Amino acid sequence: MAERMRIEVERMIQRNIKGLEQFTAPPQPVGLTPKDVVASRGTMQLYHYRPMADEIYRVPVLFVMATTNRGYIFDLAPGQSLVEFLLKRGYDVYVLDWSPPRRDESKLRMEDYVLDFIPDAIRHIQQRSGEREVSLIGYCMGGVLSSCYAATHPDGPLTNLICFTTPVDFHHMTLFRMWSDRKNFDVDRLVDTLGNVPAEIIVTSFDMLRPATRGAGQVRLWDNMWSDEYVEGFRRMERWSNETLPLAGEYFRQTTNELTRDNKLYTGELTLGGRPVKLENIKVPIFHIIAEHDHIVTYDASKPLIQMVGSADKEELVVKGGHVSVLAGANAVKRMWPHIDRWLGERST
Amino acid sequence: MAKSPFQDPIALWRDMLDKWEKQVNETGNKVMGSEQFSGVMGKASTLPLQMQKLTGEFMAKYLSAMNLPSRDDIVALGERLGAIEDKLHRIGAALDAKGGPAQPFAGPPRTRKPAPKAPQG
Repeated sequence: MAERMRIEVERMIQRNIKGLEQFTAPPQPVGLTPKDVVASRGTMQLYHYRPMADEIYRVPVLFVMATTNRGYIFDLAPGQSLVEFLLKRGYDVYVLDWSPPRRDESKLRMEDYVLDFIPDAIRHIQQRSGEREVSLIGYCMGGVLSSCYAATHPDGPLTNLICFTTPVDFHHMTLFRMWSDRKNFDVDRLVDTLGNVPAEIIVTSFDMLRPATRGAGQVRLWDNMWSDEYVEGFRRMERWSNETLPLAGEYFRQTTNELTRDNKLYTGELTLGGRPVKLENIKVPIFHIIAEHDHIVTYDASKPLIQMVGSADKEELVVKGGHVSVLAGANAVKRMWPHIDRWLGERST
Repeated sequence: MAKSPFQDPIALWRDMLDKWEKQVNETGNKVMGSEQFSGVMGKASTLPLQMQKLTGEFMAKYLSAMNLPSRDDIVALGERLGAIEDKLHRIGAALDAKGGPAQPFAGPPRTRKPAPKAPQG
């Protein structure tokens, strides 16, 4: 007991010293792995990370980030970067990232992402790599966009598809569905008034799914203030959350109406640019990783993906973790990343 | 063997924090999942929107009277720049297509194979 008290007193002193440092510290650095900007067009940014292995796999890999957040979640910090992990294992890695949409980009729709930005990024990768085939990895709504791309481009050049925590049956995202019900929420008024949907609305709706978690997180930060590792990790994730992106207004209107309300991706009624989006048209090898404790995209919302695709080679893996911790942070390094390497390596030659 | 909470009050406090968070989240989800809450939230969200729109219109008139650019003017300039950027992108793509495919990035050889699987059993 005396030893326990001594440790706690020591931590208390450290908390006070480091707590003061917190107020003056600059933002935690993120996204440090060396990269080149291959293409930049409005909201779209395509990065190519510099290879780290002497010999790389033939097929390049393109990450597609969710439209709500910054892509540096894939490259959070040295030693905790999925991009760095894959580079060291011999992959040629590209990331399709988004910056806040301009006002004139409030007209962007899912069609722009699925039928223009992703194909454009793939064209750049084909030119730069000299390879025709590309693997896609999509996270959350990035997974939805990647799946829609795969379903509308069955003749290639996509060769593998990996999705993380990707919703398909939006009626199982119960709270989002309730909040966006036509009786309760006037999406047209919101979009017509504001153009793009401010990031604050997105952050608030995510926070409302776990109303106590932000407060409890601050208490845990204070409790762990003595630990540099904990504080740095917390601040990186907090920065990422605070840098949530606004959404293009028409894209928000379309996803609210057609996905959240009418569940058209699940029912097979979704069309983009006149093309039907049927998940059964996905024939490439597919690997879907679902987080066991995901409070944003629940298991029931994401499990139909593997059931509905037409691929003969398909695998679903449920791993411990939440919507973000499954992908980034100390636990993801052990729990999820080796599975990506195992699955993708043998399909990238 | 697990320590008694009396031996480690800090661990007890952390455990209580976890339980509090779980309980508040569960209760909050029940309340927020009700029709009543969703209806109130929907109505509450439209009022600030209206306020924001009216404030924006008022500020634009004020700045115009002061002969200063409004946010809309600055955004319009950004849009013009964005349009030029898009046009440059299209010109670049057209030039690439005309001149044949660009030289691939000179990186390491693309000959890597996955490590052989360890024998089972």
